[in-house]
Amino acid sequence: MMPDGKTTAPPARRSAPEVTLAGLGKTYRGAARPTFTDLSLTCPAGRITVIVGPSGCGKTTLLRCVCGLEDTSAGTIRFGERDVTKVDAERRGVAMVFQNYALYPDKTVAGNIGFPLRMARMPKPDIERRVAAAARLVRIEDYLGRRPSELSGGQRQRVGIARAIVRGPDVLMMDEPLSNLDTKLRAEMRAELGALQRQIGATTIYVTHDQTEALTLADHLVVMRGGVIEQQGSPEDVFLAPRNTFVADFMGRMNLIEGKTADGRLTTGDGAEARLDGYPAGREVVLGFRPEEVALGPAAEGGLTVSAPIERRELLGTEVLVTLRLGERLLRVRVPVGTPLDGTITVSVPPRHLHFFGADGGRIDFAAEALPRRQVSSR
Amino acid sequence: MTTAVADADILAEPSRPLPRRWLSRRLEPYVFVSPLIVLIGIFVLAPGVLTVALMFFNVDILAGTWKFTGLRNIQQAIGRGEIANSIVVTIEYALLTVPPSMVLGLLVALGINGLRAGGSFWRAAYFLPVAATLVAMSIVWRWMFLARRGLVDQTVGKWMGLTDWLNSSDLSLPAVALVGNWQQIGFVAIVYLAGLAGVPKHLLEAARIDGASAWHRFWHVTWPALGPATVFAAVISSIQALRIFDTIATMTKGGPAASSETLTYLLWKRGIYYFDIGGGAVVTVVLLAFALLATWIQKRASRRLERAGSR
Repeated sequence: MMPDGKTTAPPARRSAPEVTLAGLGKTYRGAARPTFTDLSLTCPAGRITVIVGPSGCGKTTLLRCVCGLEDTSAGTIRFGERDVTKVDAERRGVAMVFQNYALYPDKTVAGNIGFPLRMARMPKPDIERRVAAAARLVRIEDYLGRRPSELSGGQRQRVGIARAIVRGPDVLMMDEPLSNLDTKLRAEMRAELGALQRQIGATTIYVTHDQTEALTLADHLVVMRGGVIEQQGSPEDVFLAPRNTFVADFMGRMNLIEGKTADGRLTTGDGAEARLDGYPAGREVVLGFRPEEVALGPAAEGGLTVSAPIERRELLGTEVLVTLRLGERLLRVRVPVGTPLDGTITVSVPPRHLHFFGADGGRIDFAAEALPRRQVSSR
Repeated sequence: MTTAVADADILAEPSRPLPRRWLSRRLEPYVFVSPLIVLIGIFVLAPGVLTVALMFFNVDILAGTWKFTGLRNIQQAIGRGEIANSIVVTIEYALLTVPPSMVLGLLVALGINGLRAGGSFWRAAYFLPVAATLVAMSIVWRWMFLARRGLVDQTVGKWMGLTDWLNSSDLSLPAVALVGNWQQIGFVAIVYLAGLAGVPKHLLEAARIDGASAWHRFWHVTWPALGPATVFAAVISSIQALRIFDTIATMTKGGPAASSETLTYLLWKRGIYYFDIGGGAVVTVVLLAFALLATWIQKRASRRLERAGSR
């Protein structure tokens, strides 16, 4: 789950531009509400910016605006110094990988990959050289004579990727490129895509609804909801310190408990209780913790302790995902295989893994407030 | 919870179909296809066989006599030279209507497809001639082609010197073909509009991003995707061209000097007007041969086109 390998990324190889969106707005013709308004975002040069969010959050529309398939209602799009807001997709020079591959069915693999070069009137020998190189990079060189209908899904998407990189694009768009592939292939292709992007060095904007893809691939992570950027930053920052309850839930499905703190307790609206040591009393908060960050047994020094009946358990492999019932809400925790799971279980979360959000859902630094008062509250 | 268990019980009941008797299983398919077999027999096979037989007889319908004459009907038909003339006229008519109406119909469809508003109005406007009664429309066209006072002679006739189309042996067939195009374009346009609705939008977008201009997007994405529509429109248009009769009967009566006498018109003239049933049967068989030839050519061509081009 945790992102890795990000520190070993070499510096961007070519002079790929920074992509800057400033005050971007988009309202579809006849739509009651804008898809997004006043959206600003900077995608670092030569890196992967992943835009992640639930269906209908506007991430695909944003991508379509950047590549020029949709015109914008307000704001500017710049590739480096160049303002491309009014440049048609045909001349914007962006390459794109589509979720459904969008290969030309009547052309061979070589014809598909070479098509952008043909449109750019490149001489034939150059086209052949580049097509061969692109095909080798995505390991599809043995299939150049085939038609898309004769390829598997994974091979088709390799062709789609080769077609996108064959021009040596400065800006590369990927619209859920792995969503139509099966789980195993998706994991393989994800790793390959990341490596490939570092070889190519294009400024990449990658749209997905998959949080694993988002965390593993992103240099810069943007979480969107309802046309609004909820949080952006490095994937580590977003994952370790979600700015609000939406990001906490969406990235890593954090357990969230709304309640009121009392002396050593957290009381929820429906009357359930959990032990919570070392925090100020009398505050309405939303407490969050991740399923994988719980320990068995009561807390030794501060933190949260929950004793609750087991509702459901699902074997994940070396761990069991246990669903607990606390009042009317269900909590998910991961415990090692072999843990006795009968009736009620007691688990705890240390303070460093507890996240607190205010009544409005925004993150608050509850622990800092707690420190000076700890003496008082713990008697 | 209790209802869920009850629902699961319902689904647990056996759901296999009841076993059926052997005889009913064997007979059933024949019962289902028999109405169509009977209809095809009465309306296709029997008349076909009868027509071929009629070629070899001299039939007098009024007297009710059949006299076997061997190959005389065929010899006479060749001797008169009218079949050769009608074959040429029919091919000319097909060339004057099928390619132009296909090209113009495609252009109309592309135009309507590109409209932001008013598409349904133009669709209806172009389809109207297809739905109209051709005989009635032919009378209107005959009136427009009227010598000197007609709309055509008043305009095109004055500018280009092409007058009195229907009484000219050079212009009578083009005049009829013009009406044929006028009607056929609407049909071709509707077929292409249906085809255009099926052109994958994401492919057009991919081509746009790949830097393809409007023309290249048409040539590399739209046209290949229109393969089946092209085959269908070509087949139907060719059949229409072979069957042309109403406009010729109304506008030129095959004249002047048989210059617009297509096979269908000759068939009518021989079989109905002269009451020469045997001679009519000979023309019918020639027409049938043409239809089969056209079908064969199109089957071969369509195999390539329906695979949607390999450019």
